[in-house]
Amino acid sequence: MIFNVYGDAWFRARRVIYAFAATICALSCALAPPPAESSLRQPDEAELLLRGYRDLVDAYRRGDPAARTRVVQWRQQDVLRLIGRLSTIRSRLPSDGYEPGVFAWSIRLLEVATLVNIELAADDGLPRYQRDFALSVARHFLDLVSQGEPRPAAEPLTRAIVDVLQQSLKVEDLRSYLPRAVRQFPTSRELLLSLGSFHELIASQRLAAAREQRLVPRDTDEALRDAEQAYRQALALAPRFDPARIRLGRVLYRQRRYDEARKQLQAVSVALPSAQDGYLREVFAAAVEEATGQWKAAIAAYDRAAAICSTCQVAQFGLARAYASLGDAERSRTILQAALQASAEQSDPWVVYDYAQAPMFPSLFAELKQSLCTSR
Amino acid sequence: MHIPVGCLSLLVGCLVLQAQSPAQTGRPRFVASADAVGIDVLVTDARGPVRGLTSSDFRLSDNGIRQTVTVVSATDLPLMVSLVVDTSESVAGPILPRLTAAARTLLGKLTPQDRVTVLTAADVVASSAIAPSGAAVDGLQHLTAAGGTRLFDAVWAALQMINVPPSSTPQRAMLVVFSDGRDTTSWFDADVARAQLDRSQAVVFAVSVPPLQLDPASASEWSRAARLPDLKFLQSLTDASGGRLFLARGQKELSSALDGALADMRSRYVLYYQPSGVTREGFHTVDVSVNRRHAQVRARRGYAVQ
Repeated sequence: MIFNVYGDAWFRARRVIYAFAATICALSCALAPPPAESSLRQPDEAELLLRGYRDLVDAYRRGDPAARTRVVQWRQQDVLRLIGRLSTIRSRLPSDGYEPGVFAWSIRLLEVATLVNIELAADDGLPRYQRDFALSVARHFLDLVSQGEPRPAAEPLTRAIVDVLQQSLKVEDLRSYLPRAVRQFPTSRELLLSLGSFHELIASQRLAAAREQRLVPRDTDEALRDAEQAYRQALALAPRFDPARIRLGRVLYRQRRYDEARKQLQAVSVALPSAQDGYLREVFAAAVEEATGQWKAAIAAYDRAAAICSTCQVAQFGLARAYASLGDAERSRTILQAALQASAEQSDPWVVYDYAQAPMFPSLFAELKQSLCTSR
Repeated sequence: MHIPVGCLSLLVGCLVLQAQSPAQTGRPRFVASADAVGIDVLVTDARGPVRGLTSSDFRLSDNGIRQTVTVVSATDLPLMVSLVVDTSESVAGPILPRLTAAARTLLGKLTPQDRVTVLTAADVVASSAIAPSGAAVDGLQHLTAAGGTRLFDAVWAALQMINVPPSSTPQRAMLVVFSDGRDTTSWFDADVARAQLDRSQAVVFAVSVPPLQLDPASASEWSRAARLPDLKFLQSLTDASGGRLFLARGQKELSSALDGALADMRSRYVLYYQPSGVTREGFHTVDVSVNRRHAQVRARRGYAVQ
């Protein structure tokens, strides 16, 4: 089944991808020739801390369970001290007394450590407070990475943090983090997509975490307009960026601009890179037809969605309702009865629509591996 | 007037009404035929349900036009029960076992003639049992709480499935929703589920328990929670169908709420009538009253014909 990987199973799969990518990356880094630290005459406290942390991280990446425990239990005050020292190193020029090699590997270590902590933050097996701490450390490390000259890994690492914030439903954090990230990387279509989907999430008022954190918008239409703007910016940067166009279609539908929505959804490439995108395009198109009373067109769109994913419930429910609306109650019930036999693993891509950018992540980790292990 | 159950076969389940030849105005209107509408009615006074009422005691109007009704005591008719059990993450911990225990208690009190459908509502809406009441209990044994809640979708599906085709055995429909009322991931919105209720005969009962963050012992907190927007959807279903919303703080209250729901269903009357003098399509507002002083009538507010 095409979408078995989504839902809980998909989240687990992502953890594996995280772990695999980061492990390969760290091993590659560990196998690289040692940097110029041997030329240090008098390692200072920051460097010693760095080395200790690097050893821990390397051992962790090699799968040493003791090292994992130590990384997880790394005392908050030690990490804060390390961040302080790294900040000092990062703010100095190599001519201030640090060897260029030390400077380079400290930045590389920061990037790897950011990734390690993102992985910890996304690890469902850890207690919540440890995950939160790891996320906080990752953000601090990434701030240091992002200082000074631009680093290629900074943008994908930022996206990875956005991903963890989305998965953890930290909507309050996202509200401040995402606009800042977009300002920092204004040409990142993926971050613009995340920003748009965040506005959609707020507009939907369905996510309990958003309501509990009192992020219900004063004006839903305004939130939808913000989402529309972000998607249009992403499409201005990359007109063939189909996830943004599909979401733009959805946002226009929610604003009852059905003709515009239909136009955007029809403009999406026929051959989409992801089955999930294709499925969402069809069910969104069906919703537009339903809203305008075009039940036969809605059935055609739901049928196309069902052809992409035969066990996905949204398409089946949509078909059942459309047939009922056309007066074919028997067919409606037959479809519905079959759809209700679904197992818990057959989650529909729609259920994570509000808070996940599922198609992005495999390529995101490939990018991270590339940027952390082969580029300077 | 009471009529034998066997004579009702043409009357039950006929909310989807056949159009007759258009009236002179050009708009189709109901005329005398076998088409009928069944309205579940509960009449209570200070002592509880009022029994022994006959057709002459009721006054029913459909879109303001008085109708002639035939009354059947609900105790004569088997129940088609649909349970929607929220199995999302929001009911994880002690809530789900309490909900399922209460649901099992309810199922245990049904008769062999009653039939049960159990739907679970999480990221996937699934039917765990469609069976005589005894067999449906098995479907509640191994439920786990995870994921989001497709509550609107589940209610829509339950209402769609509960409208069984007319059969030779007259039935009444009862939907019981066990949920904190919070929907997160439905495809349909609340209005779609509510519109489906208008096309259904079902009487809806909703049983909600306090969110985890509230102290169940604190009446004031629970009272505040009862005003949470989450409960508005459940409240709208129960109000529109003539059912009830139960807010249960503990297991005892939960069980007593379900006893109350079942007692409600067993103490009702079904008012059948062939609508006349009203336009067929659209929403029909139904108003029911009874000629008993201080009696209160609980009935659905109307129904829709496509």
